[in-house]
Amino acid sequence: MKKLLLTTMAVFALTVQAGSSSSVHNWNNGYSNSFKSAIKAAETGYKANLAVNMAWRDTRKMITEAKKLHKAGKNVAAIALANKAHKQTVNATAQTALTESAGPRF
Amino acid sequence: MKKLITTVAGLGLLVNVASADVASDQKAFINHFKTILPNVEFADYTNGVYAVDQDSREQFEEILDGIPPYEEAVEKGGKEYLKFGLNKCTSLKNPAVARIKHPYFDEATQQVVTLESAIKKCYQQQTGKKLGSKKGKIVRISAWISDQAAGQKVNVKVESIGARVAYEKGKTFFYAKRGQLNMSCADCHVYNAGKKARADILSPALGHTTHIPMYRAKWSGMGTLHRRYGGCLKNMRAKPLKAQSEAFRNMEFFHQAMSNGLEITADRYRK
Amino acid sequence: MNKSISSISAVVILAILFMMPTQAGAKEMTGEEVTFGRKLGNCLACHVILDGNLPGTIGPELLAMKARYPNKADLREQIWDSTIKNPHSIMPPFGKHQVLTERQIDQITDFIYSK
Repeated sequence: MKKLLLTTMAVFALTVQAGSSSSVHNWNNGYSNSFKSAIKAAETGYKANLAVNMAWRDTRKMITEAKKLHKAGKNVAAIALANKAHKQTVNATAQTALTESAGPRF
Repeated sequence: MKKLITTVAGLGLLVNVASADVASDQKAFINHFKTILPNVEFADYTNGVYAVDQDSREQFEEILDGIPPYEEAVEKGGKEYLKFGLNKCTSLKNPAVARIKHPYFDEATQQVVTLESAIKKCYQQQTGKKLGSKKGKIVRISAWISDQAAGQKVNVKVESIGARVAYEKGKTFFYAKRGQLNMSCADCHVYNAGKKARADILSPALGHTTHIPMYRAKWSGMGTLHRRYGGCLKNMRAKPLKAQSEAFRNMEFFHQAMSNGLEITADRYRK
Repeated sequence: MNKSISSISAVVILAILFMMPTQAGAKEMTGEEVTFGRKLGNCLACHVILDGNLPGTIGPELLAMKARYPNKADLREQIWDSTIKNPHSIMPPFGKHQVLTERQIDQITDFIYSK
C-alpha cells in the first residue's frame, strides 16, 4: 500500500512537473503534455467540427472520459486520452477541407 | 431598365442551367449503375437489393405474399392521419399529391421541405404537440401517405437558385468522406452497390427513396429515411445529425432527385 | 527482434498502467483475432481471407500477399492509410485515424502477410 502510494505520488509529481515546466502543445498534430492544453485543444477542435457537421462519433465520449480520469488523479491516462480526442478533431478538420472537392467520379 | 432586363434574363438562364444540371447529374448517375449492374433494368431499382440478388428477391416476395410486418402499422397510420386532423392542412390534404410534391424547396423560408417536416408542422398546428422524426407515429402516417401515391413517380424539381444551392449542399454531403472510418454515402451505395459487406448486399442509391419510410428487419420496425441516415453515419463513426436537420433535408433533396422517374412503392420491407 | 520485444513490453506496460490494472495477466489477442474481430480490423467485411467466414466482396481477395507486396512495409502502409495510394479508397485509414493501435496493425500485417 505504502509502495503504491509512493509510486502514485512520484508519477503525479513527474506529471505536474512536465505540465508546468515544459508545456508543449502542437496544435497541428494533436499532441500536448499538459492536461489543460490537451483538453482545451480537443474541445476547441470538436466545437469546430460540430459547426460544420463533420464531428466524429466518439470524440465527445473521449473528452468526457479524459476529464473523469483527470478528476480521479490519473493524469497520464487523462492526457493520453485528451490528446487522442484532439487528434480525432485534427483528422476531422483535414476531412472537412476535402469535402470541397467531393463529388461524383463519373 | 435595361439592367433589370439583363438581370432577369440572367436569372432565367441560371434557373434553366440548374434544372439542366440536375438532369445531367442524374443521367451520369444512372449510367454509372448501368455500368456496374448491367443486368438491372431502370424500373427495377425501385426494389433495391432485390433487383440485384435473386435469392434475396425470393425471400422478399415470400414476405410480400404473406402479411408484411408493416401492414398493420401503415393501416393505423391512415387512421391517425384523420384522427389528428392532418387532412385539414393544405400541404397534406391530398395524400397522394403530398408524397409527390415533397421534398420541395420553399422560396419563402429558403429551406427544403420534406414530407416528414410537413407532417410534423401540420401535427403541431392541429394538436399543439410535437411529433418525433424517426419512428413511431410519424413513420406510420408518412408510410400511409406514401402508400396513396404508390405507382406514381418520384419527381423532385430543382428550379430556383436557392433550390440549386440546397441541392448542391446535399450532393456534397452525400459524396464527402466523414467519420473515423473515412467513408461517404457514395462509397457504399454508389461505387460498391451490389457488392457484399460480409453477407449483406450494399443497396444501390438509385431507387433508395421509392420505398421510404421503410420497415427494416434489423430494426424490427419502421423508420424514416433520416433515421437510416443517422444509422449510416454512426456506422462510419461520424456523429449522426438530427433527423430533419437542414443538412439531412438538403441531402434528401439530392437523394430523391437522383430517383426521379422511378415508381413509388408500398413494398417497404428491407433487411 | 529486440525492437519488437521492447514494443510488446511497452504495450503491456501501457495496458497495465492505463486500462486494465486488474487484468494484467490477460493474454494478448492473436493476429487472427485482431484481423477478424468485427470491432477491430473487421477485414472480412470487405476481403476474402483464407479461413475467414462470410467474407465481403468490396475489396480484393487477400491471397498471395508475399508476391503482391515484396516489401512488407508497403502492405503495412496500405493498412495504416490506404488513401496515400488512392485518396478515394473506401478502406478506413486504420493507423492514421487511430482505429487500431500500431501494435494491432503490426499483428494484422503479419497475419495477412502469411496468407
